[in-house]
Amino acid sequence: MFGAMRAFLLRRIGSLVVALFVASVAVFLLVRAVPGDPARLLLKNPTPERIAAIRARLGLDQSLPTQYWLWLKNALGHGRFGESIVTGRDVKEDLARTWPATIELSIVALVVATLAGVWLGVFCARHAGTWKDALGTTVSLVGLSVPVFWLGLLAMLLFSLELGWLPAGERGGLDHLVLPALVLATIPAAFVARVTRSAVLETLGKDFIRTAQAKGATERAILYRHALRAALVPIVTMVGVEFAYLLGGAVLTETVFAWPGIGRYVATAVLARDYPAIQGALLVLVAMVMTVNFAVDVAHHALDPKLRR
Amino acid sequence: MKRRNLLLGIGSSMLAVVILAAAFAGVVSTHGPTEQLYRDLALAPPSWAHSIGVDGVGRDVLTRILYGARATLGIAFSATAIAVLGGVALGAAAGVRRGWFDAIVSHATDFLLAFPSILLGLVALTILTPSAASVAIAVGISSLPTVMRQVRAAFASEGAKEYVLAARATGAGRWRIAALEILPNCAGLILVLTTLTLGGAVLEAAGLAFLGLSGQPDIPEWGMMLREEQGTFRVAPWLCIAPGLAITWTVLAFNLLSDGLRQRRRWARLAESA
Repeated sequence: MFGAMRAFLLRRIGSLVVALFVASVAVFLLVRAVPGDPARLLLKNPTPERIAAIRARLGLDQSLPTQYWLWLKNALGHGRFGESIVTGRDVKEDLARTWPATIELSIVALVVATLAGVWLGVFCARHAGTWKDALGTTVSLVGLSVPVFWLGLLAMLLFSLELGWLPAGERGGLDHLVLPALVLATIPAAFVARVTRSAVLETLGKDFIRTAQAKGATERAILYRHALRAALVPIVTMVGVEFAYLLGGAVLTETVFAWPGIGRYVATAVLARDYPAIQGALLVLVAMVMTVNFAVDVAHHALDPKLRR
Repeated sequence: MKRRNLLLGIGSSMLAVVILAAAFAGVVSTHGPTEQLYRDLALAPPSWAHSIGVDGVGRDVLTRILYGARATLGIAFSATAIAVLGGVALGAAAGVRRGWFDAIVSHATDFLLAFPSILLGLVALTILTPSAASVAIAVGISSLPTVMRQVRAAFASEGAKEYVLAARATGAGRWRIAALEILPNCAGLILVLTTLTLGGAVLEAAGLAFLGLSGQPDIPEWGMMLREEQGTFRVAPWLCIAPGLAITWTVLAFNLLSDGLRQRRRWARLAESA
């Protein structure tokens, strides 16, 4: 069993390294794909001397693989992505400040979305075919269809501006986290609810559930101890997909709530065509996504007895 | 039995409303969406003459919402055309040809699927110049991997079935089999994926426009309207409520259609996780 796990881990780490390499090449090529001189694209005020300096630093007179290598060495070795074209600040410092804010928001939203989604999914499966199921299914379908930025604006209008219960954005204490995290959790929660509903419904039809019913287990025990546990594998696999939804939603939610995270950072960078900032932020986002997917795959492997052999 | 008709019925009626709004925007409204005719009525609340009020620079909001349906449907359908045509072509080729081509395409889509599509859209927009066409291309490209993966899986599993073996026994080539035997059997799946992609495309295009990346302020688009009017939502909340409702309505219509179609076609089960 441990041998199989080790082989899996080695293979998975190998593919992680390859994926990170490909991603870094893509991020590097991004600026080269934009029409125009990369040296001018990467500078705030391109004077001839500064252009000459950045040309030398990027090795623009050398071959593309050499340029990539120089860029990677600067980015990974020294965290040097250059200066923001808009603010003139070091991109490295901006990234160090913004990514923890996004992680904080995403983790809270992930927990909320998973709990709410699993609850709603089990609720629907339990009352399958009744009006309660129809109501829950409708709620999750609407939840999937609402634009998250609009929901954020409405929540802010109601709870901060009209009722004054919660602050209207920016990072701060726990109360600052409530609205953005709830809004961000909506779409993933709806998604988890749908997956949970069908996974639980499917296991409820299996033989071992009938056995549990036959031996007199309560409905609650059957639902939570037997059916939900069997449905756990698809739900855990969902966390990776959820995280992708969360990061996508974070770009918009952070913009609405003026949350100083990396999602808002990359959105403003793209709007301003701030290439050093775009490159740095994309690399950090790629690393975040890859790490989460790696963790999910390992957890999936550990949870699913079929994969253990 | 009854329920599936219900989903399809509600979804298609909701979509019909949007299509009618887009088609008859110029008939319902006597003036253009960008004409600032009512400056003295700026931020006026809903009334008989202006049923969703007037925005901060004197434009009738209902007119803008109706014309917004045009922009939204235009972008969503072009993006979906890119995603579905490209995704079906690549997915079918990978599912039929297998080997190294399949390995490369599948790994690339798995890789891209790990990222939120709005982020892929953002990346595409760093290269393209901002315009409605660019948004459509960006959204189309970022939705392509989902379609491709599902179509590839369907082609690969259909390829092992008996009717394909029978066709092969008669001497038909594999591309001929793919086009004439397998593709018709995947029509339902492709239809489900199309409606799903349409809904996702509306959301993503609105999100990109909300971030200010649609590039053309003269074309009213719902996401862009939300961006412009978020500053006034304290004094005139209907300006923000209307475009958001319009987006939700349209996305819900497509999602209902895809749920209804999915229940109808037995093997559209493949699209369940999408």
